[in-house]
Amino acid sequence: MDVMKNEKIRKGDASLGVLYDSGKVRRRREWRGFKDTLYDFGQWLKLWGIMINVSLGRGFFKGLFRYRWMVNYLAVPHMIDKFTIGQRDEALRITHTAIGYVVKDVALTIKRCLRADSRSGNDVKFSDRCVLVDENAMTSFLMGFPDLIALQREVPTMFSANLINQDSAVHYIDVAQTFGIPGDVCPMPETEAGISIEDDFVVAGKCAVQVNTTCDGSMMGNGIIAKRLEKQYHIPTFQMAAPLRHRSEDVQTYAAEEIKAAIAFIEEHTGARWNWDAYFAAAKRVNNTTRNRLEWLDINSTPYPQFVGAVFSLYNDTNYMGNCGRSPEFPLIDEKIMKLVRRGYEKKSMLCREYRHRCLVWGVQPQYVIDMLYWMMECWGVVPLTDMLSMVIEREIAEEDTPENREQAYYDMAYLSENMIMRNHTHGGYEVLVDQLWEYCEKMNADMVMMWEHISCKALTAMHGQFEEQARARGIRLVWVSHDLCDPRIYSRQAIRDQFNRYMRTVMREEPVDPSLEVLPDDEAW
Amino acid sequence: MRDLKHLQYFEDLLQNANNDLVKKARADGKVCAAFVCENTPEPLFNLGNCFGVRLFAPNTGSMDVATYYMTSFLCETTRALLERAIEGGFNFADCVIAPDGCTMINRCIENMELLKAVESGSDRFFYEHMELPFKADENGVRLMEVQCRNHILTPLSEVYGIDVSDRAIRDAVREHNEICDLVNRIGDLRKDRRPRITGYEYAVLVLSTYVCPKYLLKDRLSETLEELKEREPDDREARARLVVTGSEMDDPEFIRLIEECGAFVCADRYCFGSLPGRKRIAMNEDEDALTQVCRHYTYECQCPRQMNMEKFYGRKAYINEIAKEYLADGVIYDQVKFCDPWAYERLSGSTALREEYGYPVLSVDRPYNIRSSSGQMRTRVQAFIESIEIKKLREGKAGTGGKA
Amino acid sequence: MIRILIVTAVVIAVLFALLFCIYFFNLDMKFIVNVVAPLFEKHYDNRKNDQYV
Repeated sequence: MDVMKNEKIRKGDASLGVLYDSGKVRRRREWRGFKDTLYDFGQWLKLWGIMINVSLGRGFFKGLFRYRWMVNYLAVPHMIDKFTIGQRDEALRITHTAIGYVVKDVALTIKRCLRADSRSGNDVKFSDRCVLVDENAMTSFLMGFPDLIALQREVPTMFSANLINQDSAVHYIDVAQTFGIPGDVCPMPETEAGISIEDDFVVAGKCAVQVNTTCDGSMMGNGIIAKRLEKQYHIPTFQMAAPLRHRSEDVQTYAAEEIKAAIAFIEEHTGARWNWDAYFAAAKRVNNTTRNRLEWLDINSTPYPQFVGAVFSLYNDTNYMGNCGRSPEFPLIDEKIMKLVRRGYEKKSMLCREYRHRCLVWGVQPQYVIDMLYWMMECWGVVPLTDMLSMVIEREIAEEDTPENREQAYYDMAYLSENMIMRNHTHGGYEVLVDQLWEYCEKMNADMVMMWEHISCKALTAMHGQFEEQARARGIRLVWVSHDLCDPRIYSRQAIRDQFNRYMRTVMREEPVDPSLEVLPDDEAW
Repeated sequence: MRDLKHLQYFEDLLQNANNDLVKKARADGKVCAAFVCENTPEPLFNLGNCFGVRLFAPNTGSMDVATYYMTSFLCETTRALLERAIEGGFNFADCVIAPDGCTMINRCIENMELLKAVESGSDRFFYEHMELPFKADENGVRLMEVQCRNHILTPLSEVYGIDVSDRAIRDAVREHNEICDLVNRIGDLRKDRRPRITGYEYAVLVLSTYVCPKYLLKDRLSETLEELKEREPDDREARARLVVTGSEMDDPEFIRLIEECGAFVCADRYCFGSLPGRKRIAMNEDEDALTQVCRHYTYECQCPRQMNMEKFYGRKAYINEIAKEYLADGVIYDQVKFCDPWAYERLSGSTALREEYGYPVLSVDRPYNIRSSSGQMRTRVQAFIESIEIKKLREGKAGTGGKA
Repeated sequence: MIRILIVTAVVIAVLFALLFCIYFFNLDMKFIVNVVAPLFEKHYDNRKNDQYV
């Protein structure tokens, strides 16, 4: 593509490498010009407000001393700094609006976890309203239970902890491996198994629903977790299966029956009753999410993308997976983001100093260096138009309460569940992993693919040769960037960035837009 | 013990996926349906004029090309199969039917398909991918039934004109059960303290029943059974009687290695083993044959992909049961390198068998072809056998079995 | 009244300046990283958890 230069001169820090030293956090925060710095400062204050609010919750301090993962949350502002690097104007506001709500959502999860936890808050009545749910489950089967809480205890313990602190999983991986899980499995379920073995999950909930999304490793780790839940804590668990070949018509009845069984299990153990009004209200919100996301993607396929990067992915993740239409607040946030996105597009705002390549990010992102998508823009002018995890639900579900739609609803919930983020591409045949990538490249006008090669994700790496050969045949530039998801000992941050640097220098023969970012001393950072 | 008369014959059949019996069946004008995974209902490939062959890649050496396509982190079984396909080792197949038993086996077959690696020369050649249930329940049975109909029966019937009627399925099950009965009668000999068959020999016989057309094996298996009845066992008992359990294992050399260390492999619960792979399928006349076959495979499955907790606990209880039945002193949990499901099952299984059932357990990962790295394995097995012997000496008894 | 307003304005200005300094020089994170986190990590390392498979 032709290089697009940002006509608007960026205020504030020009060389962003100046923010880094070898410490665990940055030397200082970014100067973004008076207005944007003040805005960022305001958001920082708001963030501390959220964090203080969490600390006032029942059981917080007990939990802080009990659980190793809790200390990571003190570093949330550091995570926000990573996600806002170089941003100004609408881009900065979009990121703050989206990640601000994600943080609020996770904060609420922590608050609820500790309140319900028998070792911290020990609010038994509250705990009885909670259903433990996998971090990688679409919580669609809870859309019709407005009085129940989907407690995703793995989110603060594993998923978001690793976004904040790159070393958050290391201890638990070591525990799991000490007990004999090999080092070649995906470190995410391995970490979760390690947390369970170490007894570092909160103990809460009337019952638990586990799913086989995302992958074999995740499904297998569940057995170890469920055994502890059942045998030690007497929390009954249900395993809900989502078929792998989710595009096939002939598996949908199986999937719908599984949803029915999960609902029956929850009703039996919590005493709650399925509420169709709540379900269809949630379905409307899910559809609203889908429409908005598709519009953002449409805008990202123009020369002026607006909502991109790690936060785009994390926002979609939170909105679909943990929320799944149940919160009335998400549509309001969607609306705010939409206004900013449209304004940015109308103003032809650019996200960084120049656009050299339009890039589609595919594969499974590393949790601890997920902010690399912003670095790509700032360092090399490569715009990440979208990522695999954001290419999720494609169609709307039935939202009117009719007798036919009540039956259809089970299929729709199954559809949401089967198409859980990431899994909708890593499983279901090569068509959704390989073929769809090229379709999206065309649709989004991308001239480059950055392939996150999560080395222990077998579903993905098993197609390595196919990606390589097909990209070559199609003339698409494909950059391999290997990592091990949440274990920074396998690939350090700089080792990950170096793969991209090498490609840009040797294959593309380009010089960085901001050379101060090419090598960063952040391998020891949180 | 004296060598079995047909051992060499069976061993020769295992040197190549395209073995003499496969060639003979093809020459008889039969259609060869290649398949993978223990969870695929095997009798459905042996309908009418069709015979099933479960793919394996004996004597695998380099897997470089497959490693390029699938990377070095993929399970060695799947890489070995892909490598063999690329080498042309499966060109005898008229179709390949594969379930998404695990992610890696699915990707292996998808790579074969995209690379057009299996060139049978037939313009009717096809690939089919099918879903398998994740739990042992009636919803799972219904899923398997639909999948078998859509991805095995219909294509075989439409493309090759195979008779897929209820009657044909019952005939295939009858033949399957005959083989199972033969294998089980031979397998029962392992329950003797001084068995008349070695674990290695048994592994060779069992493996051949997966990778050869069954109707061509019956006679030799029957003869072998008769021979075994008269066979004089060794005077001495083995140093330890072991159950081997784990993932895809189509390499009898692994069993031989264990027995060379002085142990006797008394029970085989691994994919390609006889427990429960050679359990006969009980049929009645009331329900249609396909449903019954699917129910058998759904409920008998001992693969860790079945995620419901009854199965999770049940798999460990099953090992305990067979360990008791076959008078085992210990258990070897093995996992082919990079197999995700068995990586976790190996941990939960070995811990449960050791701590809850009281067995000495060796937990190991192994290469696809044990000959590529036998030294380390031998050392570990030897140490394990010695530890069992020490335990026996301390406890002052000959054979243990677990506590539960 | 004016004095109260002036005092309030000065307090707000000082508070703003203080908070802004903490924000801009990343003092919040530096404090947590250098003081708080090491204490907690030591505490966690000394804990004995009930490990169970």
